[in-house]
Amino acid sequence: MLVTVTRANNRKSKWSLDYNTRNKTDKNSEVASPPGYNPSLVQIHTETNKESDPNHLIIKKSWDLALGPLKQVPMNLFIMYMSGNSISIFPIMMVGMLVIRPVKALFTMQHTFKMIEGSHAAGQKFVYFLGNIVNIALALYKCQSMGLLPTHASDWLAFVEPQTQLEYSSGGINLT
Amino acid sequence: MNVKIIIMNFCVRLIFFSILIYGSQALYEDQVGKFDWKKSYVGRVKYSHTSLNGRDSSNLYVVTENNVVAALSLHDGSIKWRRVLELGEYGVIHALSVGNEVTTLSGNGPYLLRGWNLNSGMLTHEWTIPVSEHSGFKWTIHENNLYQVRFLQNLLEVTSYNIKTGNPAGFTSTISAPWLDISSKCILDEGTIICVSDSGTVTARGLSSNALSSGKIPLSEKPASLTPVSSPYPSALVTTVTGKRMVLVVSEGSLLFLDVPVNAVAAVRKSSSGPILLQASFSDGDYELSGMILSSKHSLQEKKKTDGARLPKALVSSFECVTDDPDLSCYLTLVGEDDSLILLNEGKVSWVREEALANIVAVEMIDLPVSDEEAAIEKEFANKEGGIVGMLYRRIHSQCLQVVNAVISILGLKEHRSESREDLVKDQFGLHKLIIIVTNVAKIYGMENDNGDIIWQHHLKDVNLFSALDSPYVPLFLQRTSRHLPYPAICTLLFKQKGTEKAALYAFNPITGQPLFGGLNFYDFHVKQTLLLPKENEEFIKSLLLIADTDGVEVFPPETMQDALDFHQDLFVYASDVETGNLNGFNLVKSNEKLRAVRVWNIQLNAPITSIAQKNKAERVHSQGRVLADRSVLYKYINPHLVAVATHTIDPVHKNMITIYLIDTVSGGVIFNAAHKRAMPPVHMINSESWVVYSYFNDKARRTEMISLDLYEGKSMRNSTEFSSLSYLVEPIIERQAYIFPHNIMAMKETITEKGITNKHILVGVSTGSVIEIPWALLDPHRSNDSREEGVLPYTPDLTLPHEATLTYNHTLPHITGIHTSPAGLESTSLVLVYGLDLFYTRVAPSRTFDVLKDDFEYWLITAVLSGLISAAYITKKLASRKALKQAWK
Amino acid sequence: MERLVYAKVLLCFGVVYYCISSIHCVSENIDSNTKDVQFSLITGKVFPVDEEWAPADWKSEIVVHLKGGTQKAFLRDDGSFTFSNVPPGSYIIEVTHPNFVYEPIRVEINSKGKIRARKVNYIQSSQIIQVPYPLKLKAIGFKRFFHIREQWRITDFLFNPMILMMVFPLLLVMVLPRMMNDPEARKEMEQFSNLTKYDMPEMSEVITSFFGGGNEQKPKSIKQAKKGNKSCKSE
Repeated sequence: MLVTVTRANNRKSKWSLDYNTRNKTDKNSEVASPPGYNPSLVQIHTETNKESDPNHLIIKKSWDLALGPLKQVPMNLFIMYMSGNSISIFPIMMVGMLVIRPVKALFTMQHTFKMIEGSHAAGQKFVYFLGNIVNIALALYKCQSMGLLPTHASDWLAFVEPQTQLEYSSGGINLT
Repeated sequence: MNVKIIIMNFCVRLIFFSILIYGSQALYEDQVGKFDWKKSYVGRVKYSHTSLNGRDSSNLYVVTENNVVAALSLHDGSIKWRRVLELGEYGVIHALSVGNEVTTLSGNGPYLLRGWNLNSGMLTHEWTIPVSEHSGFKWTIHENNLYQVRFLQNLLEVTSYNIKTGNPAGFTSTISAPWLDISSKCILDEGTIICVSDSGTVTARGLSSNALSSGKIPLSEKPASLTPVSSPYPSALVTTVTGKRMVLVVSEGSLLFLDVPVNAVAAVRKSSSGPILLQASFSDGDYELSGMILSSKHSLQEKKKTDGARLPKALVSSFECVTDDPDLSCYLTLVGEDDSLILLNEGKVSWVREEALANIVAVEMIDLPVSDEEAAIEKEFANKEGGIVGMLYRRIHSQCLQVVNAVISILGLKEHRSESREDLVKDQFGLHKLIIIVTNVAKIYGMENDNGDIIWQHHLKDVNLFSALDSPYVPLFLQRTSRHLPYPAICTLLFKQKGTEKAALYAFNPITGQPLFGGLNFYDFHVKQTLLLPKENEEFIKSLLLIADTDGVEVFPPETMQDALDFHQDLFVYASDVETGNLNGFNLVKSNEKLRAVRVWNIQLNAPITSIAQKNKAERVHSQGRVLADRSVLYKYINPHLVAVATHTIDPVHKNMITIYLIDTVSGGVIFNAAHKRAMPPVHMINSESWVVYSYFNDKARRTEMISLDLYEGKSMRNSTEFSSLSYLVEPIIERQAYIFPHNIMAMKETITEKGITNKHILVGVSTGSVIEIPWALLDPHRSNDSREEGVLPYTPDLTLPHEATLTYNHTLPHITGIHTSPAGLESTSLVLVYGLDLFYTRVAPSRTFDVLKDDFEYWLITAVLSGLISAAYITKKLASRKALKQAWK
Repeated sequence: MERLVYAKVLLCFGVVYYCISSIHCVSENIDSNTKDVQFSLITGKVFPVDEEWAPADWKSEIVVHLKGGTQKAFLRDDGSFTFSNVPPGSYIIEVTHPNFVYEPIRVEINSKGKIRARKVNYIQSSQIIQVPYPLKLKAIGFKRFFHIREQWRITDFLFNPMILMMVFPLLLVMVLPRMMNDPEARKEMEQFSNLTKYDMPEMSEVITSFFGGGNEQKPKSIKQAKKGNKSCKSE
């Protein structure tokens, strides 16, 4: 450190600092950047800083929220695959969780989107809604592959009424 | 090697599944006797012998028509020991003699003489007389000799055997009997032959002693028959064609005789002053005993009369006295015309055994009516008029009545109604029922099913039972149940009149036994078939239609004719002729306000019918289809008009052949038929829900086989709301499977429940005396080794059942004739009554009692655990809050 | 001609003689029966499960069935039974007792009267496992009709793996912190661990001394030097 200072400012004394502003020519002179400092990042930062539009931020946040459910889809798929197709406590718990979470999210959708006050954000709401529906559809597919959905005739068998008989017959061996 | 592994694999799987199945249904040892009981009988007594030996070992040795040798205690009539001989003609007992041991001669063809120990009934000796080409022997046992007599023209062929050794060659002698001609009536008694000729000449000849005595008795008419008389001397009762009777006694070479009035029965005993004739005159349920010394014709002073005993008319079976004095304080054994066995001692009835229950023909279990209080409660709820105030008033009124009744019964002031029992009411689960039993001699019993007590009994005279398939048969109908309280329940029986064989109908109240509608009604036509209407009229009566030989229809009770006329076109009747195998189906047609039966179809099977099985009308099927492995449904073919008929033909090629037909009795269509070659009857069939199970004896492989048939309509039902055999004939898919049953079957019946939700078990009575319970899952035709469906066991041809499946655990029921099952109020339970020589009643729960708490439900354990956990929860909550408080203060 | 007459007379005589003699043959002769069928006798003896444990009247409760109850035999005092007048054929003999289990036996009598007894096999009826004749039938056990009621024992509850999984960590969680908090317990734990640490070097020292022999000095000095190092570093 001491060495570089002496290189840059030979005429200056060892311990003084120059508060004069540099002219443009001095700008091009080499000043080493501090360790870990990446000049390219500053560009971006300055650019975003230039925007500093709160609306933009809000919209971005709301899109994050809206895409949240869709991001959970791969994890849900993995959970479904790992829990298996048998009917026992663990798969049922998992399926229950898979169903209840999106359903709860749907019901509190209004509340969640209240954070983004002001704009009605229809598009985001729709995408959020869609994401949750996809999660529910996944849970239903899991139910179907476990055999829990009443899609076959055998599931409705208990409601089949016995046939009423139109004729009545009786008899047996001739009584002698 | 591979085969062995496969077999072992199946055995292991089978054992596993049978543990699963049988773990669900066997008894626990502490349930024995809780809801089952057994009653033993001996049958109608043929010969008996009283042996007096002090109070405890006085026995009455009996031999009965049901092939039973038994020793009854003279004191209370209980069975000390009983030996049941072979069923059928092998076991018919021809002679009884009691000396140092009980000797019986039984058989028909080869004869067996068996000696039994007096006290224990153990077999002491046995020898046989083999088959001979002659028949028509008469037997008598006298003083250690058995005499076999054959009657020829003017000749008697007598073979005598020593009882103990049976001396194989026997000692045959021919006795010339010029006094023996075709018209004389003879009898063998006590080693003597007594014959009475038309003219009244009596000849008595001792078979071993050559003593001949003859005489003449003053007979005004020809003798019609000679019957034995209980007597230590050779005696006979002569009955003439006009009914006059006379007793003959041969004593010490002289012939004694005496007239006996028509309504009296006679017996003879030894005494110091010679033979004494005892006369028991029957009048209105009581017997008056009087005696006479035969040699001097001197009447005894003493007369004894039973008082209010309500005994049936009877014959004397044995008569034995303690002392030799000429008095009447003796033991008199009577066999009533209703098969009961009565012991009179010193003019009083000691005990009565109802032996008619050894020949049961029809059984029905009737619900009991609700108690009076409950009836009042129900009436209160049913009555909805009067608005709220009215209902409130009625409620208060009925509750006040209940309080008053409770107080009175606690104070003990309630008067007893002697005519009916207080506890004959329906219990909470509908398990308390009244069993109506009809026996061979037209005696009806009302028995309660809790412990087999006989509540009422009634004997119908002048009627005979019908006979179907070589056994007696009586149609029994329940025309009104006991659920509609002010109206009494009605039960109807159909008989034939003695003599004319025309129809006789008896209607009675099954709960009290009182006759209704005039008791026994006689009709003047022969009945061909019967039909009970399925619907009740306003008075809750189901009409009974009797179809006469002339195809006319008679309705009982006559007031309900209009209901029958209303929907006559839906009523079909079928009648089958057993010898020719002809089945005729009839429809009822209205013709000027009367119904007629018109034939609509006819099937000729051209073979005699051995067995016919129709569905139980009270049966409900709960599930309409069967779920397959791929979750599709195979709908059942439930045809309530389906009848299974089995015929037996003998042809030279296949020897015996049994053919099974499944016939729809409304349209006359034959749905299915199968023929089994080298198969022999007896064929037992069960027709239930959508399946049929039948059994026969396979002569070639010498084993009993059971075939199960399951009928399905297919993957879709053609008409899911109505079933009609007339609009179209469905050809069902039939699955069949055969199984080997390792016992001989005597009777077979399926369990039945009210709603049909419980599994069905098949109860099989076997010849070794037990009843085995087979789950339907073991007989399912779908059992196979390839497809692994849920609940379907792998197929093994052998139906081996563990001993836990025996319903009768260590009881032996000899000669099982039938099994009757009835639904109970509980859906999971079915009530079973097994009848034959013995009566056995129990309860079956095929799917385990899923609708009640189990017997050993641990109330205490659960309450203890619950209270422990709750208190632990509260204590920890308190401790935790205290700790949190302490932490907060730190 | 005369010879013919003579023969006829002889024939008539023979016929008459035969008729007369047959009348006297009423008493049984095994061969002179209908169609010359030979009837045989089947005998055997029955034994209980165990002579001492059998109830006193076991013999009177046994009935032996032939051909499904068509013929029955009862036991005599010595436990033997006999079936008489059995025509040729194949029969199954079953011994029935309310509590003992007996295996059924198939008995075959051929037309010459030879009797052979073998075990019953309904599936493979031609399989022959012969059984000695006259029959000696021994009960193979008692019939078990009843299930034993399930008893609930406290061990069922405690040894359930789920319960163990829950209870054991619970104990650990509750008990160990308590132990940690208590200063005395902590001291004991430390002593305990020191003890164990101390023991180990001793053991190894003993072994090295046992094997080393004269190198006692060196290990000691090394140990001291090590100790010295340790003390230096800790400061």
